[in-house]
Amino acid sequence: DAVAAETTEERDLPEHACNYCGIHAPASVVKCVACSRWFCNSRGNTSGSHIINHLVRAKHKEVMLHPESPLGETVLECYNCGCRNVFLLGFIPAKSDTVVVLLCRQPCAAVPSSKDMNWDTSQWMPLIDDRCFLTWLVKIPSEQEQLRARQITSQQINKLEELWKENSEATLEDLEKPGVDDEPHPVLLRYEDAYQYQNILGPLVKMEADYDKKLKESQTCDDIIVRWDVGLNQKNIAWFYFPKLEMGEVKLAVGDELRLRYRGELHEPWEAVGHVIKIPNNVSDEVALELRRTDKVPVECTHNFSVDFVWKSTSFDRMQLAMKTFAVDETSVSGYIYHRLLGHDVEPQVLKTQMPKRFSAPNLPELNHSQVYAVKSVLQKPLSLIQGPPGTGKTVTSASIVYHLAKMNPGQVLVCAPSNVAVDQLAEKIHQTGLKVVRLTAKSREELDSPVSFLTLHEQVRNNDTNVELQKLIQLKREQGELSASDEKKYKSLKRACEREILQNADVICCTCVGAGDPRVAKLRFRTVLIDEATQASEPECMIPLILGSKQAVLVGDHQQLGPVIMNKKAARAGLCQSLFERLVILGIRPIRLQVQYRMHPCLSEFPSNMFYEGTLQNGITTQERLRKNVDFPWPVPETPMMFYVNLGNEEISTSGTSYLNRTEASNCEKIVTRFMKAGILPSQIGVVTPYEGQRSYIVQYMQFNGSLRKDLYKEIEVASVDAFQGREKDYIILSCVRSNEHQGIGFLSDPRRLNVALTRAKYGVVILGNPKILSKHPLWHHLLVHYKEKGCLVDGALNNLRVSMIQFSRPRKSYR
Amino acid sequence: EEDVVVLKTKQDQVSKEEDDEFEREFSRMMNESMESRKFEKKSAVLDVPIPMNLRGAQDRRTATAQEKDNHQQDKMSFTLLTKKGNRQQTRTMEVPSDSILAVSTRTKQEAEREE
Ligand SMILES: [Zn+2]
Ligand SMILES: [Zn+2]
Ligand SMILES: [Zn+2]
Repeated sequence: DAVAAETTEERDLPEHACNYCGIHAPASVVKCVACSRWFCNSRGNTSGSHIINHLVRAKHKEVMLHPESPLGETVLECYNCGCRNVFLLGFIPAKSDTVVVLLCRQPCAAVPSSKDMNWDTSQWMPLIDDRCFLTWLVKIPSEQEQLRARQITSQQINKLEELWKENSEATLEDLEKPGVDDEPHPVLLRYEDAYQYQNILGPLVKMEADYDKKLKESQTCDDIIVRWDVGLNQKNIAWFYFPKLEMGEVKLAVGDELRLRYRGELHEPWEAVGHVIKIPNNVSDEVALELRRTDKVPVECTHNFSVDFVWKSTSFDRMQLAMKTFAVDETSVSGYIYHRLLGHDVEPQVLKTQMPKRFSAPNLPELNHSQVYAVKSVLQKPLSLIQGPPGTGKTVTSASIVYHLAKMNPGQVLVCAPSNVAVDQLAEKIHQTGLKVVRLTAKSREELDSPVSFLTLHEQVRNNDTNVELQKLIQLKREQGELSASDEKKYKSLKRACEREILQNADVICCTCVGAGDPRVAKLRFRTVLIDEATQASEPECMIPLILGSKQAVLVGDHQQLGPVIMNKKAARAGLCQSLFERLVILGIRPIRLQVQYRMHPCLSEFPSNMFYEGTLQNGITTQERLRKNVDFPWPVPETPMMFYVNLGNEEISTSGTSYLNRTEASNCEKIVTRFMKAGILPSQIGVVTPYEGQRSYIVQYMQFNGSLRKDLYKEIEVASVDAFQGREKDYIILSCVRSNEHQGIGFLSDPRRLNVALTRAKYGVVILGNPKILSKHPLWHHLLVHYKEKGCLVDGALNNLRVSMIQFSRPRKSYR
Repeated sequence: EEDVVVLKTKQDQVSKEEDDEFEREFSRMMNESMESRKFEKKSAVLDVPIPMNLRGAQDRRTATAQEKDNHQQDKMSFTLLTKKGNRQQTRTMEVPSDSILAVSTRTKQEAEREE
């Protein structure tokens, strides 16, 4: 019978059978050289062929044909240089004969063919076409063979590849075994107690940490070319170009640690750790790394360097510790906050405090009615949420709240946010009120420029004049670079005492959420805590500042904008991507919403207000204040500076292999940017938002090569992802949607929160470039398109001759989640 | 035929998320590969001689191809040059006549014949 036949067949599969589906026709399979497994060239139920699936998932790159295949046992490699990376290989034909060779795209096929050459490099065609090997190189198995093969899904492929990383003997059958496929326990809305809380969130944090570690440690980059320099502090700085950054997965930040290694022949093996002081920006793609150690640096060498990421577990350790403290230490939070955080029902509590007469804080702008309401209701509540939609004065409101909390309560107020930028902004505003503010930064960031360096703890220690001996040692250390062992010991203890004194005398201590786990802060107790951007922090991250004794906590954020970034998909799916703020909202704590926005031209706030804030967003700014009369730009409706510019160009895979780029949109983007600049808009006030890295780099390049104005002007235009613009504003925003594909989704753009952020960055005008036919299939975008159409702002044609577009929208699919 | 239908329904069920993710990983692989060659020294001009016995062979080949039976007519023969150590090897490769490679080669040949 059929079942029995099938199992025998599977048992008897030859060695060269596809490790996914079992197909084993010699002409249809290839061997992965890296792992010696065989895979076929059929797609089965997936979007790429099995061999391509494997190469991509396993990050393998070399293959060999079967001895009995038409071409015989052949390792595919560049005829010229021997490169075996199949993602780079392709055929070129001879000019006048039916002869072909395999050449790598870069550099061999990049040499233009000269007249006397036999080969036509312009005819180069990739080996991999449409996620499949060219079918005449590796045959597609017949339909019959495919039907009889094991039907494996892309999900199973993924899991199998994951299994192989731990156990190279694993088979498809192992996927069925218990434990292999266990999804982690998802987060809950309510928890019995803090132990259950720790037991559920702890493993998720561990998963994220493991993933982060694996990712960072796999990011070694070889063949780095270094340019040497010496900083003002006499430390060596290595400048280099870091190709991995282009890929988007690894986000390098100023302050991150990297290890630089030399393995060439001109110097003995050498390595040193340093921290990043400059990341690629519009001006240059170089990374600058300031080295910690200064001896024997091979500054005479430039080639053969490697760079590794130095993974640090600090932030994850602090989250775990915070959750443990929450569970075991009864004084970590007040009883009321304990139960509220766990989702228990408790009687509302009012704190007995003397309310201030004025709610605005000294030297800060007067508060509007909804801001006053927010400040007022927060001061007497032990736990509150403030929702600050775009441009509603979140920072001023937070600073005013902190001012009153500091005046009303004993002890210091702890002020945190997940990002350093947000902490700096808030620290500066609070400082303006006259409060004594200390900004605590991570040690690795002490040397970095900061707008609030005068508030930082290390700077205040340096500038303190009460301790003469400490000053002498600081001076000595600066001059000599290092101190004798006994002096160093003395210096450390004096410094610690000085830090303690400064912290104790402060009214407010500002640091990142993770920074609140720094022993210098974590040793102290904070009755009052305010967390800004709380919707961008993961829940365990938020716990770090909360468990230092909080009795009153204020979380500020906006759950209609982007949430925390969780890299591990399993952990994210299990709910680690939900912020504490969001969970508390679901539990029924109503956030107090700031309702007056001061950023956008009223026509720009209308759609986000209706779609994301139940129409409650009011405009604190008039049309007149947001119209630039002398700016010559072809808005379809002059007093409504917004337009949806229909671009029907296809999305495509660029020559460098980057998918999702759209040349039509890039070209129109350049025209619009140029037009804005000709009209007198500063390049620094124009932002280009695009969801795909491929399009980002293409637009940057395109503007450099094709822009009709001075090249350096285009360099000042910020082109970045939606996520990079969160929390910021520009005068004009151009949104390039890119996706224009009949079959696939619109990717990142389908997240309503991302769309909200994209639409709410501009003060004076928004231009959206996209394909309405495709975008309108998505209900949210359908609404947006109808809105633009009703306003008369949906246009097509040439930029200097725009017409109202008559394009028909598609019928939207039912749900957009 | 019913089996084919089953296959298609399955295909529709392919998780969008998995596909999008594969798509991203694939692009990353491509990018990474290109980036890794960015600073590769300019290669020497491609100087691969075409073996004498293959020169001008196309006329012969196309002629014989036409004589071949039906199912071979939709194929065009090319020679793939490979290297084993320093030795040049040749392999015959059947390329579908409607592939870009075959079409553009035929166009070139026709143009040459007209000259
Ligand atoms: Zn492999
Ligand atoms: Zn297969
Ligand atoms: Zn090559």
